[in-house]
Amino acid sequence: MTPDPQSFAARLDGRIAKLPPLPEALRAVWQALDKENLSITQCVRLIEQDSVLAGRTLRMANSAFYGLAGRVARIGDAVNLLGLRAMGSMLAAVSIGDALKPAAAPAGWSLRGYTRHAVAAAVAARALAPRLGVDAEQAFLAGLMHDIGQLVLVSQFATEAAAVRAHAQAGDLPSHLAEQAVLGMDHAEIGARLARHWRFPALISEAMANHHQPGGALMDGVDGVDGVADLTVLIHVGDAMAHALDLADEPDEAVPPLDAAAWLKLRLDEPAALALLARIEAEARTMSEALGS
Amino acid sequence: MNEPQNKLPAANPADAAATEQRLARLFRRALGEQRLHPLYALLRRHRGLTDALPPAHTRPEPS
Repeated sequence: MTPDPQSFAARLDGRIAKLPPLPEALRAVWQALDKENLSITQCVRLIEQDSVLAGRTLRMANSAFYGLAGRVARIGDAVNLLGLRAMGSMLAAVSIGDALKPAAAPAGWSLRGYTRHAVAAAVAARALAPRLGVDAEQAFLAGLMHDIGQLVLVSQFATEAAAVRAHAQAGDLPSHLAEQAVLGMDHAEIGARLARHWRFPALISEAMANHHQPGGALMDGVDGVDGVADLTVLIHVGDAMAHALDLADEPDEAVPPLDAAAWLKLRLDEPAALALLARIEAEARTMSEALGS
Repeated sequence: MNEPQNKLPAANPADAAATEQRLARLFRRALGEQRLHPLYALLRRHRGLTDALPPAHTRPEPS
């Protein structure tokens, strides 16, 4: 069956509208991430009131990644250790993963591979961020979220996801091209629609929307949001680096094309690029293990 | 967790061949023009392969 693109767009918006809201604590942490005034004390209190988020926070702080296994027992200590903004990004990733956990993934797609790639792209975007003067934690969050449209697809539209997968495998196509052919839109747009519904910072939702076509965001201020072009470049290149480093551990992994203008904008010479690749590979593996993926 | 498939720099010819093969697979959508992908040469260096790119005939055909 080939889904009708027009009806898919309408059904997508309807399905997104019915998804549960993000936890209030997460929204508060994101406000802090968006540089609005919010006290750490207030965030800690909100997290403490949400048992799932509290458990996740302590698990991360006590993971091997931070070398303090079993020694962090209070949310406040965990926030001090992880940093409020880094913690907000990680909590966002695990909370959204929980909310959109697919009942049955299509053949050849795995939640583990998805998560490992998301973490690797986030680490890469964060490592590249200083080259464009972008806030590192905002780049990290955008990297974690960039493919969330894939999660929407496999968790909410199993039939369509299977059709996309079959089309991609038949022609060895990148997922976004198969999605455009079958559904009339790709996971970047699907994810951006969800991000807008959940009121992500606009900068992040627009960078997500453009991550496969960074040229579309080259004019800074697209949709009235400053900084989209640079953040989109970070996600586009970070995504390609994550695929090239093979960090999802998936047999069908393939490196997507790299936009020349985006690559050149980073002004990476060979020694700098090699140092970044080594750092990204090490950090991404460690962080994936910390998250249990 | 599964063992990574190609994470260590190639230490001997057998490893180098396996690494070369995995990189060719990863960059297969560059349709035989991996030289044009900025990350291809970097990944070869990162994986400990020699500077020389493989001969054209060893590169994968477009599928």
